[in-house]
Amino acid sequence: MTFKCTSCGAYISFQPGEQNFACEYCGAKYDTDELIQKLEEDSTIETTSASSPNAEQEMVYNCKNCGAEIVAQGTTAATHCYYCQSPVVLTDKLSAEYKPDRVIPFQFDKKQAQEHFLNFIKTKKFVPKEFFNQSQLEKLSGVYYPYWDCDYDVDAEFQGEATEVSSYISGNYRITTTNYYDVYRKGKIRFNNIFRSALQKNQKELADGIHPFEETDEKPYSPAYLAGFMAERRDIDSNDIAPEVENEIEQYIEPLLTQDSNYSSISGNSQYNILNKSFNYLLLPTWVLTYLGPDGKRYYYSMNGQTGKTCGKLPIDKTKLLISSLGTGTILAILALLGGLFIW
Amino acid sequence: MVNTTKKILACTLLLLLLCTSVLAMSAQETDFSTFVVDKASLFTEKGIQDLETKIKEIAKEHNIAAVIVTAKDVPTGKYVQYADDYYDYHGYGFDASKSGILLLIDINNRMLYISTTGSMIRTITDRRIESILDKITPAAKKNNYDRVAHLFLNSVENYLTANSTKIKDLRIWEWAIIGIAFLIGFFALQGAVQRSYNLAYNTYQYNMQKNADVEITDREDRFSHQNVSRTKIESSSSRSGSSTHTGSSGTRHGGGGRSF
Repeated sequence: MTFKCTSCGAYISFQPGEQNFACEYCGAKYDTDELIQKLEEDSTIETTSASSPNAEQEMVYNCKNCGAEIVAQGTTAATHCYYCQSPVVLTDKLSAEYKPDRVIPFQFDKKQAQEHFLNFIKTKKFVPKEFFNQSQLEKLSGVYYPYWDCDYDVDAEFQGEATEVSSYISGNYRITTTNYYDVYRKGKIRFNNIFRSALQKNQKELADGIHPFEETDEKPYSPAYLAGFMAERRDIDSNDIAPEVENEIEQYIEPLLTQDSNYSSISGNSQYNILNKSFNYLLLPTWVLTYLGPDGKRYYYSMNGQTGKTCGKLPIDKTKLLISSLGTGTILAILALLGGLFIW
Repeated sequence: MVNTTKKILACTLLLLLLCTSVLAMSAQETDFSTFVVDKASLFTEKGIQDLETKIKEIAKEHNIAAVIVTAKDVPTGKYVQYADDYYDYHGYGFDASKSGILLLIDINNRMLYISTTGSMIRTITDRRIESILDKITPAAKKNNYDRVAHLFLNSVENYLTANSTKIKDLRIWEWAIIGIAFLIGFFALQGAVQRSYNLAYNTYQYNMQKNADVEITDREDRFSHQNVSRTKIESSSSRSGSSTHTGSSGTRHGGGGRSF
């Protein structure tokens, strides 16, 4: 699917700065809600075609703007045409069971993301220039990654032993009194927004460090938000992540049920029954830059497209670091020498 | 740039000249013939010469002034002040801190008193002064003052020799510390950069306090039993080093004495 401007026919894409849609050629602006409604009503909107939309292997699409062939990997759901740069949303990839429930639209456009990246990299003196030169900056990509947002309602109980310790000094002795209590707690707990990556590809390290996302900006999913960005389709089912999430929940039961107590220590057993659970399929915005270092290792930088939080694995200019480390070592050695002279 | 280098060179030369003249002046102040002052006439002429020779050896080897004073005219109870003042007002000591040690044999009060100055305050600690007094007091009781003086100088020399060996050992340690400081500096930066450039360490943690709602429906806290324990508080108050006082000239001294 491509989104064409009604005025000039050029492609339009989502503008994070203004949180609306605009034509990059003639500047015409489109209201988000109106555009989404129009998309739903207008069945004549051009849709990319594929022989088998759910296949996992690479697939070939035709760009409706210029007719060029677009090769997309199994999970790619939105990309650009390599020839005319039109934003292309492969709607068949995000339909039926693969249709996301909600999306958090990008809050930073590419220019803002680049500035953010350059400001961040300025503080990292040992990053080689090749990592942030102009051609690298162009590669900074806005990608929607798929997540499961899990909510659980549970009945939980805890049974254990707690201690309350107090001490005072009497003469040359310290008297310590320990009171032991049998503790029982029962209650209902609602766990909101436990996020899990819904993509098997190794994007976990790219995106884990930029959490959390705020649900305040969440919108019902529309493919229009994907226009102008890349997007990945989920390839992990909610049933596959449930056991992992439920294991995680178990470790929160004790601290949550006993958080109102002021004991010195508390230990025991907890158990829970699931009353209700729901999984929402979310697309979350991330700005990503990857770099293949001269050492053959892959480095990356990623930024939360909603909050601006960054994470990454940055390349290091080893010669520069070696010289600086020798310098730091020498300075510290001189300080030790001067300190020694002063003391003696 | 060239001018700055010239200025730095000129300042360094001036500083060196100043230091040399100060050292020369301080050396001139000391009269090398008066390290044994026998006002109570307790030593023979030959004995004084032997002691002076020994003292000069110590001075040459350790740059320390060792002084022996015998006196009959010390006012009752004033031996500390007498010893300190005698050392200060006669300009003993070769270095800037006037390092040295003085043994006063006070015949009037029947007291032996040792006064230390400068680096000797640290070298000859209170415990060492007591040890020297342990050695020399029996000879003083027998009025064998020649032996008192020799035992005193021998002990001082032994402590100085032991101390200089210790300083040599410490020099090795100093080099080791400098080496360690270098390695710490080197690896601290390497580690800090390697770590801070791998931002993937900031992994996602679910914020249960913010995202989980808890409603407690049943709670019980039942007292089970009590345990009372008593532990003794250990106190350590052993002390080593040198106690000091300030003489009338304003110089800091260490010291200790004993009657005989």
